[in-house]
Amino acid sequence: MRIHLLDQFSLIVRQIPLPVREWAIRLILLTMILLLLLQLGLDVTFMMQWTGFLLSLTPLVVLIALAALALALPLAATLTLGRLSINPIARGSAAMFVSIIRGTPLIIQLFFIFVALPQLASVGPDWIQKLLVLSPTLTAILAIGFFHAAYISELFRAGFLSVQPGQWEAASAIGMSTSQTKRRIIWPQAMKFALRPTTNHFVMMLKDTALVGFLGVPILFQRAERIGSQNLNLFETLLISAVIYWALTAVSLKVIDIIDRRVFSQ
Amino acid sequence: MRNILNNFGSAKVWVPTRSSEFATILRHEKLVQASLLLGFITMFMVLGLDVQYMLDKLPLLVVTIPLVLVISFCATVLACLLGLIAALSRLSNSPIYYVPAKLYVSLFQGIPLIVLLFILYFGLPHLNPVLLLTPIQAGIIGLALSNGAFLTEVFRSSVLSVPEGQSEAARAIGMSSRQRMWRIILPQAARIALPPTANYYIFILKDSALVGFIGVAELFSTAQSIGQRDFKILEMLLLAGAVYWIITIVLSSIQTKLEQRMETAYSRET
Repeated sequence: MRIHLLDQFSLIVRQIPLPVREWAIRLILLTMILLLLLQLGLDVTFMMQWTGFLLSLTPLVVLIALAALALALPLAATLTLGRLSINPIARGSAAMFVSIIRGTPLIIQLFFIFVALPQLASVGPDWIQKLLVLSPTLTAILAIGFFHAAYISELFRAGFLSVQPGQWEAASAIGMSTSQTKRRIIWPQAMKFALRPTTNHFVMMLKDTALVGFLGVPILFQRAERIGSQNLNLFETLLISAVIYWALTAVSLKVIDIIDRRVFSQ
Repeated sequence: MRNILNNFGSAKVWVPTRSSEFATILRHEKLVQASLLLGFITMFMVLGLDVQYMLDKLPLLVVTIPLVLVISFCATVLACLLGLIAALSRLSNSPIYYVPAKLYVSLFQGIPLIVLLFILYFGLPHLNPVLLLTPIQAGIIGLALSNGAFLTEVFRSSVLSVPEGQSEAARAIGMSSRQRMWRIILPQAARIALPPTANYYIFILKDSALVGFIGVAELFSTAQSIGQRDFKILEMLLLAGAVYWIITIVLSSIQTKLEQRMETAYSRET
């Protein structure tokens, strides 16, 4: 009788709990990538030197994304109501806004708002100039907020339409007005449908903040690129910024998961 | 669906409006959109936008459209391949297969596209001169890597949405697991996955504007360089935006047609 070494090995491996095995594979993979990069000439001491500085820039990324989310949610709700109303002016303008925003790249919208607002302001009186000439950071928040509001409004709309017609009938049967029905019956159900994909948009906003660097905002990616090209170590600094972005998105996805479970477990 | 739609915002709660009334609303909506567009154009003309200049430069942007379409098509094909491989390994039971796929998805969903493009084009040659890519290669690889991660989820969910009974029936007639996957599950999953994949083609097309930053002379970067040369940045940005908008509208109408054709064979009403 021959004992196969491989069989025995796999039997031993199967004794280890699954999460441990998963983490082991993950660690091995990441170590392999790191070793490959070291073999190619990764400058670790340089990376250590700048990690602290680049990490100190992360709050701005989160702040811009949060501000954009705060702008996007009410705007998306307004757009949804506009697109589903029977007033043709509200319908038409909301649909137009969504179509334009969804039909053009974010980078064009960023530059457009950055260039067009001051140009628009230059014709008007003083107070308009004060209102419309914004700092690059505010421009970025505006552009990212508008962009994602258009996408989130589609999600809200799908949520609205997914609510059963019977809900409207039942609400009217107990004597609720249209606005009451919307506020108390339809919105909560639509939100339940749209919550997860909407929170995913927050992660996309985090990623989109990288584009803001082109307007001159000292955001993580822009700083990493500048430091790297000054020191001829572009790969290292870009790698740090990529890892930071990855960590940010992974953590926020985890947090979203936990919130999601809390909300839906009730 | 039409019935529900008719009721939003109406004074009464549940009075189904006739479809002819709804058609009037839709027609008025189109009218409002057209007048809004005209309003925008007149507003910009009043503000001193050089329309003649825009018309002169339009051909320069139109010639870059084929390049944009080809780059995004190559990126979509590559992303589909990556997504398929990752989705199949994600569906496996063994952690040796699904952990790398999960890692790939989380990594490339987390890294912004522009960072990825800069790493591929500027970063890699800094690391080691052997790894020099042309801008177009780097652009296609970057677009494919980041969108492949999203397509993985699309493919995985469409494989999972094929009814369990199909796999069981295939097993009953004695197919191996590989045969079941390739002959029964994947052809049906492909039908479900096609419309979202076509949607991703449009996403990738819009993302391809970022490829301009690593030196590909595509639509956005051409527009920007012409605009900066002549100090007419606003004009060129508007023009580039309009071209992207028209491409998107055309492509999404094609996609809707495609979706309807895929549906007709499977819906029972028609």
